[in-house]
Amino acid sequence: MRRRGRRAGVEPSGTLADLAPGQSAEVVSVSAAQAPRTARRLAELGFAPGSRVEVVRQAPLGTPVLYRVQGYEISLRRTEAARIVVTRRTAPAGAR
Amino acid sequence: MNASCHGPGGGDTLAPGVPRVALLGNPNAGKTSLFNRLTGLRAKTGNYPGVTVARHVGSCEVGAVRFTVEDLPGTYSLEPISPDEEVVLDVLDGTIPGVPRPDVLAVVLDATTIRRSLRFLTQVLEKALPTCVVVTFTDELARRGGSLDVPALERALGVPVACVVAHRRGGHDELAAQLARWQEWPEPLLAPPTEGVEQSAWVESVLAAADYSAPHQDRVTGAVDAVLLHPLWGTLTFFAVMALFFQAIFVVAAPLQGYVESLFGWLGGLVADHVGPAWLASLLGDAVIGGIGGVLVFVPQIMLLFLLLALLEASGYLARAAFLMDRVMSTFGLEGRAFVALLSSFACAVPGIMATRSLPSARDRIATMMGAPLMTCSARLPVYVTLIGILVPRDSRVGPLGVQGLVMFGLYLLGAVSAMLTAALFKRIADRGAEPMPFYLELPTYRLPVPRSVLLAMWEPSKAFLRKCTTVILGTTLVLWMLLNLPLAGAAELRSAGLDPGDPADAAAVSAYVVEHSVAADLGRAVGPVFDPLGFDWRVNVAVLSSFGARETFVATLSQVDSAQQGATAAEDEPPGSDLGLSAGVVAALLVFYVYALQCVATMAAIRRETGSWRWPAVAWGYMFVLAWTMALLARTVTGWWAG
Amino acid sequence: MTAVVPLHPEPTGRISELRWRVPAGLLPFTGPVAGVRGALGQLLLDGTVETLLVEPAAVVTVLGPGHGWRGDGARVRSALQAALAEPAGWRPGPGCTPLTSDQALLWAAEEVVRGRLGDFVRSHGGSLTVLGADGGVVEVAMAGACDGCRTAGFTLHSRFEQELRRRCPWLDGVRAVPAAGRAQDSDSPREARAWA
Repeated sequence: MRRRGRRAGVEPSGTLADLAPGQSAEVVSVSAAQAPRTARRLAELGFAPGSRVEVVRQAPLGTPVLYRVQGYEISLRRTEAARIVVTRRTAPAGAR
Repeated sequence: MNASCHGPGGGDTLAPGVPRVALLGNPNAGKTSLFNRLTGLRAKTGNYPGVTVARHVGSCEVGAVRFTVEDLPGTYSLEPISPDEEVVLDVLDGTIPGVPRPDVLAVVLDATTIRRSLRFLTQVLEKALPTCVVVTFTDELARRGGSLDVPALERALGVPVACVVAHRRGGHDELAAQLARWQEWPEPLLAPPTEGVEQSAWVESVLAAADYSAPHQDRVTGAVDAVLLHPLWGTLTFFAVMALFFQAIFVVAAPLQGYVESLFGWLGGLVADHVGPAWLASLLGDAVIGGIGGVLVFVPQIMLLFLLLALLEASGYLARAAFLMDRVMSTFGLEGRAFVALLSSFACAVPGIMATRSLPSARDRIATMMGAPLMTCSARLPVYVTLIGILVPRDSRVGPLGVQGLVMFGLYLLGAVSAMLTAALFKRIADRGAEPMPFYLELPTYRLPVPRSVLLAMWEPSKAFLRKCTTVILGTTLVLWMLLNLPLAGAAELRSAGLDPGDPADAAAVSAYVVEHSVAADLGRAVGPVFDPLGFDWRVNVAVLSSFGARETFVATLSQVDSAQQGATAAEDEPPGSDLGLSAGVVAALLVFYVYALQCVATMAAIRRETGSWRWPAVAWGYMFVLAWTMALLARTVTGWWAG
Repeated sequence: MTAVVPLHPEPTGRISELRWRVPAGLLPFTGPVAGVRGALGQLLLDGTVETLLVEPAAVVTVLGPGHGWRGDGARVRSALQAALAEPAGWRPGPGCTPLTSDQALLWAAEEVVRGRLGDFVRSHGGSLTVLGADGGVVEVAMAGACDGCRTAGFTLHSRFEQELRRRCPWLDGVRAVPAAGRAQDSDSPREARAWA
């Protein structure tokens, strides 16, 4: 896991693709570079800033990865997950 | 029951003046099962003009009011990123010629994912068409510990809300009655915000007013997925399920197809026995009955495939299979869901092509359809057996393995690899310049399939296949019959050739004579320059031409032409064509030609049906012919070096 | 996202009016609004919004003559959304009454009783009456079929309390009081069951 310093209770900046199964994080932004429509769709699917995402499991060959977001399960390939910038809370996820 | 959607059927589902209801919703929201409920067997499947997107329209009657119901493709958003989603937007805007704008919208929302779906609803409400909301899966929501106050949701949304549960009847009547009152529906004074923080605020506020609490993770689904998506157990289960799936469409369908074939064989026999003039008996028996039989023979496979596909899809396993296979398929530019279609094509390309419907992206569907006919289907088998029989002596072995079997395996492998590479190439061409569509795959909770929907999923494609493909296949059979039998040889002409048309012993020789002097034979000689480089002579050409209707015809025609050449005395235990004196290089060229050439009218008709135009069957036929010719030449040359 | 105030409009029956649902007790008063800081105040001044009325969990907006929701609705919504982020910017008009957190609680409790949960209790032959709210605690009387019903305690503490807490996160507890009078206190679920 990348660590670029920490603020109080917050371990900033990584992408969703960096998380391991069982970990969860909050979406900060979706990178729109090169693929604005993809970014928009990811937000529509629930990967909107502020949403909590939990990594449920990954496929046997490493990709795609199954995520739980906004109360349902959806899988993304790692290439798409890497567009989603997240921040990990060190405190256990209390909020939905 | 005053609100019946299953009254006596009528053909005019597209009648003017009848209010048109469009069903919209996210994939997996229960839209199709609602559509099936409302329209029953009165649905028609076609295509939206100019695009490879299937269109489902049916009719529904509520008391005296009659509706046309249209099931729009499932979509997550009205900001389209694929042709399928563009269709939804275009239908709502009424910009597709021949597809009128709907009068009423029914938005189907899955109660378990309603937080996400409400965003979609805001985009629909912006269209300012009379709209109602249909909430599904409230039973599952309650079972998973969530809750939703439907009357409060109705107040908050400002549009009518009905609640429908797939396995129960009640809600459907209420919905139908609600639809009947569509002209009295309230119109929201102000459409909800469609983006940004205001949209989030609206969604959260509506959910709070409706006392929504989200469901917890489904325990059963979690436990089952721990096994079915496990690196080891999941992979093993996947291969077991796929093996069973393939076995079913390949092995279980075979006897059913055998029955269809013997039924039509029996009918053909009746005609041969009771119809006077030989040419008429042949026309009725071979062309008409043979043609209809040639259509019906696909029905057991199609029904079985769609039964299994519907069960896999409705239970939720199909999405898991796609999840497991996605990495492999992505190597070829495709996605996991294309695997099932390509696997089905090993049995027959027709169900394989029809199975591409489960792919959400039109580009993926086209790419898969272009690759699927290269998979070694069961119709190639008799051709391969015949030609391998000529090429390789039965007892030749490499170590413990028979060479015949090895060649057969090699042909299967060649077909599969070529299919994947071709699909990859078409996908790359389709994707050029465009922003690639993101891959996302929802894994729905495991659900019990709704029997009604499963049966309809099995019936509807079979019906569509019968309706749309019969004319094409029957027409081709008739044309081929004419080519092979015209000009009609009179009795006098036959007698002058030393044959007795009345003597059953001469029957084979008579038909051989007819073929040799037919238009097809002239054609076979005429196309000589095309096939000369491959070493095919006119007799082989006739067999190849005749098999452009269906590959398995090759064997029969070759034996006819063969006997025409040798007289009716060819040894019975030799494979047909073994007397033609074909060199190893030519047989290898023929084998490879059959790996690649699209010699199957049914496949062409299926591609035509799924894509809605003759463009893609033409492209498929063209590229496969060029590929077949080139690879056959290569095979002949290489075999020539090797043998010489 | 967490900072955004949930907001959606519901019709009142009059076309010039919308009732915007807002979290209970967000604004510390009820009654007509004299002025608001920012864009909403401007709309009130220029007559786009004729009347602005605060209710315990809603704000009613009445458009001025010549204005319609189709043309002006989005502006009103954006202005309202911004104004709700800053409750201190709202100036109560004449005739306004302050809204304490207990009053908001009482109002929200009554709304829960009017809603789905109340329907459920009534459909079982019981009755649920809110008696009052004090210091974050709501007092409720359960009568009719609730009397002696084993699930009354569950309904009260699991469902009523939960739904109320979702509306008013500052809720401290719910206390059941026998319909006859306000005597025994049964705050804990266990006692509630014994009493029921």
